[in-house]
Amino acid sequence: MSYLDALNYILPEVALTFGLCVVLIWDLVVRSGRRWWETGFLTLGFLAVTAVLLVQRFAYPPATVFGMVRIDLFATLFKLFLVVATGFVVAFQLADRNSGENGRSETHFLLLCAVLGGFFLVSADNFILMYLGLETLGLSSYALAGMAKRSVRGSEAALKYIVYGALASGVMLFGLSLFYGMSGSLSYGGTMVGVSQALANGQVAQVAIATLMVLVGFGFKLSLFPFQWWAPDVYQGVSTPVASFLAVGSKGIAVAAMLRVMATTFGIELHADAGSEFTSSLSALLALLAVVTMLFGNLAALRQTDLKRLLAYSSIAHAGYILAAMATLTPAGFHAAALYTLLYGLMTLGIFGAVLYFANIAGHERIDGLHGLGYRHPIAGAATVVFLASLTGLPPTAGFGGKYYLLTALWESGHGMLALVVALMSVVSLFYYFRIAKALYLKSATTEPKKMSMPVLAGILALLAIANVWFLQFGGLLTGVQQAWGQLEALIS
Amino acid sequence: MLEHVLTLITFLPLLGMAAILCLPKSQENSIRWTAAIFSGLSLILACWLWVGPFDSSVAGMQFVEKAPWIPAINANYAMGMDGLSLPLIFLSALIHFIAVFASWGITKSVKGYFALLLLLEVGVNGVFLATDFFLFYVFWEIMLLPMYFLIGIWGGPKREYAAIKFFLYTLFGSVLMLVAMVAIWLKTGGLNGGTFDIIELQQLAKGWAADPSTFLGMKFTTWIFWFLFTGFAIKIPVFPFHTWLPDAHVQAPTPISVILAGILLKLGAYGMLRINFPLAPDAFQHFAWVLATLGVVNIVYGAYVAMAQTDFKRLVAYSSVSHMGYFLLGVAAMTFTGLNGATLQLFTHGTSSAMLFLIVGVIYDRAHHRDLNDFGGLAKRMPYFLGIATIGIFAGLGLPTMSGFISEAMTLMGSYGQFPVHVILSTLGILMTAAFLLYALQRVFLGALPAKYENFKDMSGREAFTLIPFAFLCILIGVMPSLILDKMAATMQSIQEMLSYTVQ
Repeated sequence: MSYLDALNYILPEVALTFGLCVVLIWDLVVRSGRRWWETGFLTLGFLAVTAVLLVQRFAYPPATVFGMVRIDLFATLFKLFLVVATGFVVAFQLADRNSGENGRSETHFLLLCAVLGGFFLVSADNFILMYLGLETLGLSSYALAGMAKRSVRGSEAALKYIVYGALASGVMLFGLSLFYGMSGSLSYGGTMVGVSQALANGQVAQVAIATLMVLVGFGFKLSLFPFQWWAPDVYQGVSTPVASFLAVGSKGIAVAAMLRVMATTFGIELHADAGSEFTSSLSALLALLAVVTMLFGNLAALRQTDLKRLLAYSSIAHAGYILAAMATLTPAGFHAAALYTLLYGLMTLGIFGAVLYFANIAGHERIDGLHGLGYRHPIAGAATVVFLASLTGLPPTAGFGGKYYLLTALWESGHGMLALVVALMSVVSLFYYFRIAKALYLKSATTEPKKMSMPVLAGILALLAIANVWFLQFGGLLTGVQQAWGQLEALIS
Repeated sequence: MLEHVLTLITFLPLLGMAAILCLPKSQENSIRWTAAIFSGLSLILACWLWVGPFDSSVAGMQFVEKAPWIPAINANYAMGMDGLSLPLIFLSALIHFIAVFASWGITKSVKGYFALLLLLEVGVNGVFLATDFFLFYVFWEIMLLPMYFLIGIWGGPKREYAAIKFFLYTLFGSVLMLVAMVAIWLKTGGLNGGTFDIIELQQLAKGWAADPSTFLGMKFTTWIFWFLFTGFAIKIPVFPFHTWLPDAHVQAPTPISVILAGILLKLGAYGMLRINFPLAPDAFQHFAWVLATLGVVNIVYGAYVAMAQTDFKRLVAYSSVSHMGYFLLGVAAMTFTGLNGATLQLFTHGTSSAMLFLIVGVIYDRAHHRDLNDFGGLAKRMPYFLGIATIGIFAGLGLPTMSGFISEAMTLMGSYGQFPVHVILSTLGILMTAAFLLYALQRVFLGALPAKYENFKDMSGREAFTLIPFAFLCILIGVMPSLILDKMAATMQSIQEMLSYTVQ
């Protein structure tokens, strides 16, 4: 591959890097912090350009650039997901009336940095690059969490986040070094061969320890039990747009990276006909983690009174569903996990947008601030009900489509009990999700709420609600995921 | 028009909902009339199908529509109507139409109320007409949201509790149904040619029944039988899943209670006859005695608890529990008479219970309470209403010449050969039903009139308009049951064959 071809492949990354430089310079030199919305629109523009470039790259045959960056359909699909999600986050940020104006343009710069990190995380074909991507994403996220520097909660959140994060990525790095020791290679393909040989030589314990350590790093990003403790405090402490980025963008791209690492590092094991002892215990461990994660998330969410804390637990629960699909270690399960992640992004963006909308009116983010607002804001209220239905997994919404496919993958691979747990968990989740609907419609306001109209945000919510209903039929996402996975696996066999 | 008539029946109310949402909030009367017109159009179409093009000699689906919907999982938009769905879709259209008029007095957020009411009708009609399991499930769940808000916003003092209880119970059943649906779809091939077509599944089920392999000690058909059964049983509701019903009924506003008792409970029964039993005929036959027993428990226990009620609405709610028991008993017997009686019972209970709830509503609107011990002598002030109410109560207790008599008698006659003890026990239920309904009639209408009810007016024209169609149907079907039975016969024959299928 010529240098120019290679550059063409990573043009989205290049555009993004250029964009973040421009945003930073614009903020520092041209405007120095005043009129922060300008950098917001600049960021949206660069994200749009990146999205267009990504869409063009759907047609490219898969290739590894510089032996480091794997550009294939799977990576491009999730990069597009990340870019679109970040676009919504920036739009939410522009509409946020509760956070002060301080540091808003830095937020835009940091978001772009995080997206760039996410790009390399999901595209990496080498553990060092993967780790760098993860850290770029992580460090930008820590800084994002700390943007509200005058708020006690915000500072606490940032500190918690960074301490847990540093620990998790340290453990992960150690696990990666063990893999390197086994295989003598940092590339995914080389590690795959090394792991297979190590297992054949009976070094099961070494592989297991290394795997667990790498899992810690991903577990932190996905907020899986027992690495989820940071999530409620951080979500509550940061501004709503940043929380939505952590819940959708950061989590989604980490799921994609984890899928790629699992599918390639254990590629030979997963394709062995009999299925080794190692894969069956890995599957059992992941299934156990998934069950505990969904139980914890759903049960802890039942009694929350703060909206963002409730959504933090809900996002832990959803991470549990995604992990359950991964635990099958079958292609159908991986498809389901990827598909569910995409659809989860759709509904979660919606509900965070709704929280932002109503928090703008109430001035705080407690559930009782929503009382009776559904009648005064019919569009946002109705959209919120759609998001809640989608999160619960009720038809006719995307959440139901995702859950249907997830249950299929679980049942097909013989995890019938896991399927039953996932199904019953959605009954539990109904209870806390519909506390929001109850507040909006069944309660009446005790005090006269502020009169406020936010037509743009309401329009965005309506758009997301329509998308949530439309994607019940997957809208080609399922086929896309299947094709992408085919490309990813073609590398292994 | 005939090729899209089922779509029209289902989605005309959705069109009405869209129209209502476009109307300004203050135009309350236009909103009410829009709802009446669009639910009325559905009713006209349903009536027209009944008297006109419906061919009662055909057992299978008629007016079939089919279009690809989600190609990735081979889910289709497939609709069809047979002798089982015809009476129920007529009942649904009628009850929703009447419910619109019964809701005339609602003044709180009129726009939202009627929009949700019409959305509810879309879900209900869709369930009766869908012949694709996935579509069936989507319609089944679409009902939940409007119902939650209709009880939760316009209900009584404990409405929030009742609404979420209804929602949680039903969703619990639905997710079990969902797991069964996933299992069935995978059994037919999943992504490689799996199907949701209910008619096709009914044929494939014969193969599953013959498959002796087990999972955790139970056959595939046994698993799906119990999963589906739980889902539908909660809706009917079958003891011990009935506890949501009294709460939902008592808290719901009158028209919603009418819909709930008149048509929503029938969805569970319909689902059993359409999906649950035909897909697992061997499990159904094996567990028929359990169903019959549950049916008798419903009949006797429901009536027994109803006797103790002092809240008129709660009493009627428990009488619904009792009446739905006949359905299970009649189907479990697997005889042609029993099956016909059970299905007719759905229709007759739909009309009589709707009437009883309307009667409670008329009284409640005047007295603002429902305590039976606090009434008396209303006959003096409301003679016309007494006449109608007597018809409703007699229909409810199954007096000969009333429709309830026919269906209950058929059910019991049809089941006697199989379950003589069950039938004898359930006659106890008939006795108790007569007792509590007549005692209620006596306490409300007879005796001395308390001074505070002196100024009560007789029922208004609108109230009469909501009650008379049901009274008319109760008597009409009571003297001419063949009007419905003839339409159902061919389909019932085929359902009976499916249910009594045995592996050779």
